[in-house]
Amino acid sequence: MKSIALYSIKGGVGKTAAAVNLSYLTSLSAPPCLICDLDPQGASSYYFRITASKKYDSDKFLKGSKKIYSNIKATDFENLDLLPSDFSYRNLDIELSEEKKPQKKLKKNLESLSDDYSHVFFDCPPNLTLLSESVFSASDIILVPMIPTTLSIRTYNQLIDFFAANNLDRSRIRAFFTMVEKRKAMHRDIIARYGDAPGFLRQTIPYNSEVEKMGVYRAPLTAVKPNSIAAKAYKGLFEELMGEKGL
Amino acid sequence: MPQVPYAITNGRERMPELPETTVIKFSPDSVAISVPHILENTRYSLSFPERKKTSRHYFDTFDWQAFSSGLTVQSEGRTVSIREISSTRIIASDTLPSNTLCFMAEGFRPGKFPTLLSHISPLRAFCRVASFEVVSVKWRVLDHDEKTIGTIIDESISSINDENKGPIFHIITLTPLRGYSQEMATVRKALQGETVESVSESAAGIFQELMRHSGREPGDYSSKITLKLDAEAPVHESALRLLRFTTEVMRRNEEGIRKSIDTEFLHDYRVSLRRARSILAQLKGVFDPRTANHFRKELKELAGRTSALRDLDVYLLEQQNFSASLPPVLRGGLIPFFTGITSARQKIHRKLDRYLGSEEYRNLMSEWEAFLSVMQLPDPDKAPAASLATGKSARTSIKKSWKRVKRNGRRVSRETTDPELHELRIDCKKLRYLMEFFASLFPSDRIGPALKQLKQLQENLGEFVDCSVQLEFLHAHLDEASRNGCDTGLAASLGGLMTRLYEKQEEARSTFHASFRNFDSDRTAALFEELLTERINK
Repeated sequence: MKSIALYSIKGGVGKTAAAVNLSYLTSLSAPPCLICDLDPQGASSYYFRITASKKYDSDKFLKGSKKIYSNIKATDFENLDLLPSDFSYRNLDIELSEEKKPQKKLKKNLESLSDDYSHVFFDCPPNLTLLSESVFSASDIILVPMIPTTLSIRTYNQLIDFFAANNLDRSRIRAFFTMVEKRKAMHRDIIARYGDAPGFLRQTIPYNSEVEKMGVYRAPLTAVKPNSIAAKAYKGLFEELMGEKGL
Repeated sequence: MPQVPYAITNGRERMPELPETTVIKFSPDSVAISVPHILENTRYSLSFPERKKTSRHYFDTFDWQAFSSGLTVQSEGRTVSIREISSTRIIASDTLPSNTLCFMAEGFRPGKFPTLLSHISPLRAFCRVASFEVVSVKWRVLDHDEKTIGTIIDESISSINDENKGPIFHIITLTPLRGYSQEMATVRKALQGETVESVSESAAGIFQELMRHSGREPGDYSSKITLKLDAEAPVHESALRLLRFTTEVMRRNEEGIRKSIDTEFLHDYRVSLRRARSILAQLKGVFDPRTANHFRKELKELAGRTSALRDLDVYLLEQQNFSASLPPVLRGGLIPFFTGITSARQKIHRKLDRYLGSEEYRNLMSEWEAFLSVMQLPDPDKAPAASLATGKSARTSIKKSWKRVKRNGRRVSRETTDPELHELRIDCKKLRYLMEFFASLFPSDRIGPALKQLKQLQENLGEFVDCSVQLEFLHAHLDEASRNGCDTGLAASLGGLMTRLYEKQEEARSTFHASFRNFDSDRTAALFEELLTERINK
């Protein structure tokens, strides 16, 4: 099972949109696929119209294996399942810190799923905490969506520094630009400067009202509007991503 | 029913908590029930219905291997799928090459479907066993968020031949999506509660009923001897029952042989024929020797008529292994060899087909069947053992045969010459057949281990003899080819193949003494002694 984390320290950069669309494309070409919604806001669960069972919470998530198994739900798309998040996930960090090896916890808990799915996508909450560290060690690729602004570049560098300081393998980080508005000089400028940089994917995702409408469709754009500009961009991103070493 | 482990069906472990499918059966003439109407009283709604009218064909091997693996193979339109019988869930699907009546894994492009097919049965063809007209309506069940929680399929199934007779089945299948069992349970209760005539049934039960409707009984064929013999009955009567059984197996395989559906029809036919000959030969004094000898001769001749075809079948089945055992540069040389075999097979098959349709064969079989139908005991002067109790006769004959295997096996020299091993193999086969004929008379936990010991020895001898027969065949083929100006590619490939076979044969030869010692051990002896002195099953 290959694992891809959609991760960013900043919020509102299109992590969930990417997780939802990329996992849908994976379910078509490399089934079966699982999305693991780790964000207590549950946006990817919402996009698939899924709510966790009443009995499901962060406690069960940390228990792993069977508890996770029985709470996985099928989306409306074949070969695409989702482990919904629960509002109690907001305490995951505190609960993780009480575990023995918190950094390894996620990896260990998902091991039993490795025979069931070819790929798992983590939709991560926007912060840099113990949970993030656990995600880093459980992921083959850490995919970082970035709005092409100087502030984004700064947070990206913070992430790189964090990896260096903690002896983590930064070669697994991949960044790509989202919400790109070609008419903005700063966007053009930053893409020109970083588009070819190592660790950056070439494909960018344009700012597009269709992406925002995903909240109305409540389905992957790549499924309901496969010919829209944004859906095509996700397709390009997906193909580039699958060409990466280790996937 | 043995389930195909998911390691095979899916290439991955099965998730333990996939929700159960429910099938609700209604009497076919029940007043049309309205699923949408019933759902009105629940929290759930339905998607726009998909209506379909299709012909559905079910496929299985002649010996129902899909069914006995807990699977069904079915086609609708040109889509063919393998489903789990208990959940009706699709495990793999593919496109059927046009209006096919029979298919094997080779007929498909590589993928999950053909892989699974050859896991179910590597050698047998999947043929149509039953066909139906199906009118179906499918809904997705939606919750308040319009999230699908499962599907409902309402099907009216009628016989494909007389549709105007009306449906023979009316079933509603509810399949929850993963993680939505509880929600769908509400829907199920609503459906069951609304209809008095409904019966929940296992999908497997429904499948069996459907088959019965088409005059088929899943699992109704096996070449294994399943007769329950009576230990007290005269052995003559039991022997006739066995012979009628083996003859029935032969008869049922004739059509498959003639249509050349797969290689196993002929194989089963030949095994049954050998079994019949073995009964005639080994149960001495049970039949009038003149009659027995007459039929032994006739059946031997019949077996002879089928050998050439079986030999060629074996080469064609071994094609991949043969090729893989050679270095890549020599593989091309085998192509003309196999082309030759294929065309020779065609000719030989035509000949056997003609024979099986001939009056000569008809007469032989009717003479044989007439002999089998006479239950009267033969003249005691000519057949003194005919009236012996089956149990006693079984023990004596098995004991005798077992001792012969031991005696002849011990006599095999250090050199383990070809004739010695060939002969011992035949002795083993005879013992094996006797034990299988009479297996029902013995406790299965006794006969099972004894048979297992014998099988291990047989495997070793079988390997040896197969290699030696194939070596001889290839040698003859090479000889003939050289007379006709054989090209060096073919010669090199056959030479390479012969070297591999020779190595295998010598390996089998070198392990013979060890495998015989294992059979001729105190442990095996104790097994047989216990088996043969034990009070026979009543």
